[in-house]
Amino acid sequence: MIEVKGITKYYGHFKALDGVSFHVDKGEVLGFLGPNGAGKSTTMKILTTYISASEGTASVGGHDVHAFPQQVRRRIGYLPETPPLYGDMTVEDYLKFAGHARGLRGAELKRRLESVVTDCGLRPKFKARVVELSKGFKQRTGLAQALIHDPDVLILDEPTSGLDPRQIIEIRKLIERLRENKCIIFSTHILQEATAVASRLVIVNGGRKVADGTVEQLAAQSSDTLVVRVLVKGGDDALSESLSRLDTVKSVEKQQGPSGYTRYLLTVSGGQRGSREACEAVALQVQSRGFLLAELAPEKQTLEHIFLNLLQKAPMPEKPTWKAEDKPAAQTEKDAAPAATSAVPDDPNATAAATRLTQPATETDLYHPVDANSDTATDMGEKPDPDKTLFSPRPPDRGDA
Amino acid sequence: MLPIYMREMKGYFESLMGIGIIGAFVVVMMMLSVMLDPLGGGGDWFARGELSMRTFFGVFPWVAAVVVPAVSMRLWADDRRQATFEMLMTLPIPTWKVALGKYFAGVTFLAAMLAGTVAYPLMLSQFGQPDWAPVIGGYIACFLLGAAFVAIGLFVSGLTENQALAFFLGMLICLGIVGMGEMRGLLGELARTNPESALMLLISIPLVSIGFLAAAVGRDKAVGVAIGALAVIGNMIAYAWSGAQDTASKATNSEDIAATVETATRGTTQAGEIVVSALAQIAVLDHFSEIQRGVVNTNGLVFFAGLVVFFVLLNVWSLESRRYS
Repeated sequence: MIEVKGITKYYGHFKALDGVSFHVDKGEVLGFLGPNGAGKSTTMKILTTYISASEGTASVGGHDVHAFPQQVRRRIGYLPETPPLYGDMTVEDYLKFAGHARGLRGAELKRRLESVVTDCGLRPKFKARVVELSKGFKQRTGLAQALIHDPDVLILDEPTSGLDPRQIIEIRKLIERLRENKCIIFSTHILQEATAVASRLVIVNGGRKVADGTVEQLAAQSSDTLVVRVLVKGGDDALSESLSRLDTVKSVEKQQGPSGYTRYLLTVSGGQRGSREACEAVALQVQSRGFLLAELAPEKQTLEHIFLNLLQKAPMPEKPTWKAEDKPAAQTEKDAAPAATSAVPDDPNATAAATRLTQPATETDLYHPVDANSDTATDMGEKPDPDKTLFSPRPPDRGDA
Repeated sequence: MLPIYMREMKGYFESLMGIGIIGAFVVVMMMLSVMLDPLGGGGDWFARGELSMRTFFGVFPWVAAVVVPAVSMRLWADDRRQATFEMLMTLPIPTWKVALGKYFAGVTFLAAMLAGTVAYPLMLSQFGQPDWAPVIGGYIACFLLGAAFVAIGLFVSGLTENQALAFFLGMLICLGIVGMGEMRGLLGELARTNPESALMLLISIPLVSIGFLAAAVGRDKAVGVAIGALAVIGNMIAYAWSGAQDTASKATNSEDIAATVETATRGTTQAGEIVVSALAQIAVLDHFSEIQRGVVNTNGLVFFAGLVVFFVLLNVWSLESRRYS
């Protein structure tokens, strides 16, 4: 339903998007993932015809966004990064306005209004003025506006930003309910979000696509070292010694556990499989040495790992890519094209050798493992972590350009 | 178009701002009409023994040049400040329809403002037998001039997300247009005595205005402010000059214009002639006073309609071109 082919966008001389291509089918929920300033919003603005791509084509439902903007807009429901609300209107008036503007009238408008108010949980604030709403209700009103005409394609720019965990779950559930017969793209820099809702992920960084696939596919692409946490009743240095001799174990760190217990942190190679093998061997080893295994916790390969790993692997520009001023645009584009293709790891074997960011084991506490039932969101952008340096610098603030 | 219009009307009338502007406009118009009347007619009402709306319609262009930009400044700038602009530009409504919806809302508000001042002629009618024809003609002229100003304000509002900037820019352009009539008299006089400087002034004013607009649309605000300041200082000098001139020398009818144009061009180049006659053509106040006198000819109507169409199109174009920046 959505087909994006090699879109590039310059803001002045700044290259915000660099040959991004992807497609989304009906019934799919695409998670659009990337650090701040990666080009997520720019891509969405191009798809919604708000801005025009400098190069490349994009189509929605078979209509080219540039040639047939009206047809495209009719099919799209769009929630911009900031919900587009008129503060002086009531929720009711605002949604009626949105419906009218979408060509809904009379009984149909009433029916749709009922539907979105129920879906978005706006009933309690239906008569309230928008300016008096809490952030969560504002976001929901913005979402209701995007849904009022029951569009085939839903484009949501960070639909859960600034919401509390309970509200995030509500929005997620709503997306779950809507996914049938629709094609949904939502952007986020919150990783759980992407795994919880999206059927497929596209990861962008520095204006380039660095990965595209299901979570499983991305995990397979990303060769990884993982941490296994072992808690043993008793335990000694000799055990530590023998654990470190296991096949997939790279290193062992012995820590003080609760009284009478010893904790071992094992760094294992070989991804999920290596981790499973290590667990089996550890269980055997501990028992054969006469200790009791109290806890064996293999860290799941989290999306954070995959994400950081992919960002690491992709050849990253030292600084934001600027168009060379003395070169004609076409030539610059030609130069940039090979770099863009090599940025996407097509061959999993080739990428296996790539170096990975070594994370201290304690990071597993910082980044909660992905858990579908987890209510809390890990907001990567907010943490004062060293990984921030991984992300390319944010492009200069250019307003809404 | 209708949903946009309705939405803007709500924006105007659901806030105290709208009511406040109408109230302030009515009060200012009535006060100026009463206070300035002795200056225009030579002696006050009681001495003259007649009541007229002449001063009312005389000051309207100047008041409108200030008030109408205040009305129209929010039309786009308010949306541009919020994300609603993004919503409007991604609705399945062509940009020209959105712009027209907003424009008609502004015009409706202008009509409400004018309707508020009807109290003044009604008040005057208590003291005698008024001749309603020139009053109605005057109101039509005011409406047409105001409608042109709304179009200018709409265009300027679409250039920025800053309402105050939209207001000042709009006011500058409207005042410039109203002042053009005065300027022409000054230029005629100047052309008689010093043709070269008249020509330079004629060329520099549009250049400064264009530079100002370009800077406002562009990214470098400092340049915009600098050129804006230049335009303001230029205007001030021009008006000071104008004040120094003998008011009697002002060209007030078309024979005089032709004469001054002739004098202006005699010593200068062919290009100068074209610029001066073009300026004579766009003297808004001529058309305004013609219609006000009851001469509703196609020339005047086409002139105001042309101004409206030009600036609404310019507005649509400037918003559309933003997609490619």
